[in-house]
Amino acid sequence: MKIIKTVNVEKIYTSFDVDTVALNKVNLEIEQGEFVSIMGPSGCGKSTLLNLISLMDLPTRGEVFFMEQSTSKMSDRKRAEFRRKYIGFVFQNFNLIEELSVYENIELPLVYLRMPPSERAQRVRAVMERLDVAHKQRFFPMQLSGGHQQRVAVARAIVASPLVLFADEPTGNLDSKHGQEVMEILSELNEAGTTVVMVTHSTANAEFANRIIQLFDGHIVTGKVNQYSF
Amino acid sequence: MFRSYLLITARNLLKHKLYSLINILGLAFGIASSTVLFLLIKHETSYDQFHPFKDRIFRVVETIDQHGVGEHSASVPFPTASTLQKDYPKWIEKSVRLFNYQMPSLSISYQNKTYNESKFFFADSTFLEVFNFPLAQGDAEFALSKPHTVIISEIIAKKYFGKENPLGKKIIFWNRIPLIVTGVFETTNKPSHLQFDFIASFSTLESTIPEPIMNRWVWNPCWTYIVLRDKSFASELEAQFPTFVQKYFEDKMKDNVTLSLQALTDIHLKSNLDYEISPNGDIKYVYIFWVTAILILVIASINFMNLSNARAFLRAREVVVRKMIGADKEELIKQFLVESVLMSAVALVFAFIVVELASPHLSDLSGSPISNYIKNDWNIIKYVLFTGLFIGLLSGIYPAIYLASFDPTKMYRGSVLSGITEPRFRSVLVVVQFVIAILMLVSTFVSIRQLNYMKNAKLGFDKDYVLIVSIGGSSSVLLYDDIKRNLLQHPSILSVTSTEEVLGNNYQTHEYRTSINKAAYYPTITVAHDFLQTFNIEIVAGRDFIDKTKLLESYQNNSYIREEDFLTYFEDDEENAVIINESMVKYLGYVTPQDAIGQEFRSGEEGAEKIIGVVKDFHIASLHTPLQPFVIDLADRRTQRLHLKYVAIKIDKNRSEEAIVTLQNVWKKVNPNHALDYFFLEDKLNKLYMKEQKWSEISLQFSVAAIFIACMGFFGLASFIVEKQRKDVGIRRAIGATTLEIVFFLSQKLIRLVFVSILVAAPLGFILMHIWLSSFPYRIQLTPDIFAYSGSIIVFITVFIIGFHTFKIALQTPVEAIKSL
Repeated sequence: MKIIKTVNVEKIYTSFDVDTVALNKVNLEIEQGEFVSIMGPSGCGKSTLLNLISLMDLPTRGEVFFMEQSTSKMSDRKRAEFRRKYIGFVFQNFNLIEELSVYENIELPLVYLRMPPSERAQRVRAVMERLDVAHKQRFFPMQLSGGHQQRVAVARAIVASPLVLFADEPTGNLDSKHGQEVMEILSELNEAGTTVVMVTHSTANAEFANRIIQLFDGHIVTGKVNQYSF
Repeated sequence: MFRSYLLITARNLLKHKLYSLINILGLAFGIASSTVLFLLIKHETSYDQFHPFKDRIFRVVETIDQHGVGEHSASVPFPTASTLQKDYPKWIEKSVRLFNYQMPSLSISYQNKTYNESKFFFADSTFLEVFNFPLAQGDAEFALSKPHTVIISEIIAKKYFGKENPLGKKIIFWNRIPLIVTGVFETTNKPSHLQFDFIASFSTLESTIPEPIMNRWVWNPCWTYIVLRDKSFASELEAQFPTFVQKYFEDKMKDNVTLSLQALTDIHLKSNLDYEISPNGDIKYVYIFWVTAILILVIASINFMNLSNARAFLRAREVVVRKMIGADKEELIKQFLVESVLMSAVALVFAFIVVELASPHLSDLSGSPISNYIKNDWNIIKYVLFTGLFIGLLSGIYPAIYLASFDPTKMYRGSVLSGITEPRFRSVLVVVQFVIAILMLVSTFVSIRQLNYMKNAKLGFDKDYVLIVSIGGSSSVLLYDDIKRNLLQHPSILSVTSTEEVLGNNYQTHEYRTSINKAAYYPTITVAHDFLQTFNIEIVAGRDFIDKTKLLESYQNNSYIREEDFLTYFEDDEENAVIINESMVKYLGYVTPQDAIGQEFRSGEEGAEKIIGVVKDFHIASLHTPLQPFVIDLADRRTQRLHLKYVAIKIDKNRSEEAIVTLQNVWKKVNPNHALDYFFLEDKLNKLYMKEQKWSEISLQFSVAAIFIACMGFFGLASFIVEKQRKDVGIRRAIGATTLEIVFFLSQKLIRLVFVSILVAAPLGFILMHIWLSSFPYRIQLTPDIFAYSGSIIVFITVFIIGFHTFKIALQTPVEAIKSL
């Protein structure tokens, strides 16, 4: 199944009557189970593309299909529901909610899914074990190292078993050891069947993907299959 | 989910302690301030609401109007009640009269002690059937059924009889009329326009007041209440009043008399007649309290909204994350609303505490305490709960929508703050908040100035260093000449006179016949000799009254009596003379005051009075009423006992303490069995402006509260705006901006908002204050300085707040400023 497909997607930002084309007629298809890296220089439109395909934003023109459904006319609520059910996010700066403990942060997507508490507890425990953060469950984000924060962020992203995991520079704020660990986790998840779409500057990280999409000035310049990933 | 909301609210409150405290306290003060005002409103509107027939009880009132001169009396002649009941039995179920000789106090003796009691009334035996004043002791059915019986308050029972059983005890009214205590009123805190300590049976009067007086339709000293069989009969009955007046009132006045009905429950707030039984409130102030309470709630809500919004940037990351992991807008709105309501619940607890602490110090417009309301009144508690939660919800809506609508794509990378735009609506809210605060300040300045103006206005007579001693309603009046003679032997006493009413406070109306009117009722002050001298009132034509019993030498210092007046005038001024004021000259149609001298001004058919002098206009009543024509009449020896109620003593301002001791000694010598009641005229006249006094106090207190609350919101907002521009500050510092330039850069937007507020508030305040002032015949001018002061206070406070935030950030090094984001 083509889990994501964009058709002639354009994104234009208007500021002080000046139009800035962030994405220009981007056509992209991502199959279920793929690990895709999006690369390119700063300002090339990587994050904009990630926003559009993760249903965070709407294109100026063109169409984004998610699970083969057109999203251009989806209501805000419907898009939120899609994000809740099928999408997980990992950010460069972790974006954990500081007022919530490790356990509560991970639990949050399940709360939004209205999952019964007993099932939530089971799932959260399982994912904490998997990412080796169970012993930190009562800690608050500020009390954790960067590596642990990112583990928690990944745990939160996958706790609802999303179809697609979007990662935006997931190792950008980590040292190489912790960065490597996070990439291995993403790789494992992909191997277990989760589609992973990652924006990165790092060629080394991009190599974990089985396809690398290069963006330049809002265009896809290459969409080669990563020969090393298999 | 709810647990999650609770958890995050609690943690957020604790994490941002200062903001939480400001936000919660701001709302708590807002709710508490408005609750205090609602307590006042509730008190003012609850007068006489506790009588079972309250909707069917009406007071009969009388207007006597002769070409603009006359009186609007809260009381009517003796026979009115019984005659109405006799003539209209289908409509009137029962009636009751109250009567106190129109005396400020009446003397009551028990054993060897005599007291002046100001809350003494005679009432018909139906008093306890018409009104709901339960008895703690005695039988309500029979307590007033016989002559010489009296019901007393618990306070009086304790004062007179201590721990003894008051029932059956005998007290003496006016030194000669025995009254047996047949009941004791239960003490209640229910407000009523009827304030009394003694209710004696009306039938007692039959032995003291001659029957012809009781049957006459002229003197109108009875507060008369009727109970209608149905309240709808009021208009039908009123329609019959012209016929009733024509049928019973005396020919000389029936064309000038109008009777009307006043609903019992309207008396306290809507009645402002002559001879009110007790000082009333004013519906105008109830409306003002409402508006103030609502404005304070608006300020508190805006404050809450602005602070929540200002805090929003701290929550931006959380909102974005929640959105990205699937929270939709509704869920986020719900979450923030729950937070608002929870915060307001905490604020409510503080509000309750503030109101509880404030309530013992509360008093109404007439100065009576209104404490203990909140504990005893479930409705008030419900109101506070509802208001708090409603405000929490209402104030939470805007921040909730604002927070929930953050666009995550613009923020989830890099600086969170850079994605938040400052909504224009918030600037509008700030302006609204400051406009209200400025309006309240303007109102405070205006009300204080108006109060001072009324208190210090030139009344046309000297009110300073004048002692007033109550002698009416007791045998003391018979000792007036002795008292005066003894007092004048002391150098600290400059002059002594006697008056029917306290000058400047009240007046009576009496019937006179003039060249233009056969008979008419004119505002009158009946006085004793030396009145003009005691009050330093200026004569513009004619002369002062002459006391033929005195020697010529005693008038040496009176410039208004010439030697030839004294030597060539052989009649008694008591019988033959009146003095009028300049307005009366105009009213009577004379061109100059001199023209009025010698003209007839007869008191009744046989009267022989002529106008002997014209005084410059002065205020015989409060400045709430305009100057009017009036007569100064000298009490003759026959009627002195009825007409003279007060001794007025002008004392030497440098020897006031000595003068008071002199008065006490003279009183002890001349009138040893009677308690001395005295006060300074100035104090009494200042009480005329009690409502204005209370309003200016309330206005001041609530202005301070409003500014305090507004400043809390502004504090948070300033912090937000400054915080948002931290990076800009770093850049500006890096390129060489000075600290002051940075402060200016950071403050200009907020200062601009303050100036916009002043521009909006000034004309609005002018219009509102102009409306309020126009209800006073004598008023201050609205000068620009009032608005300048109000605006300056706000500017000063805001600059201080902005300075607090900006200096902190402006003093940072550029590197610190840039790094901090």
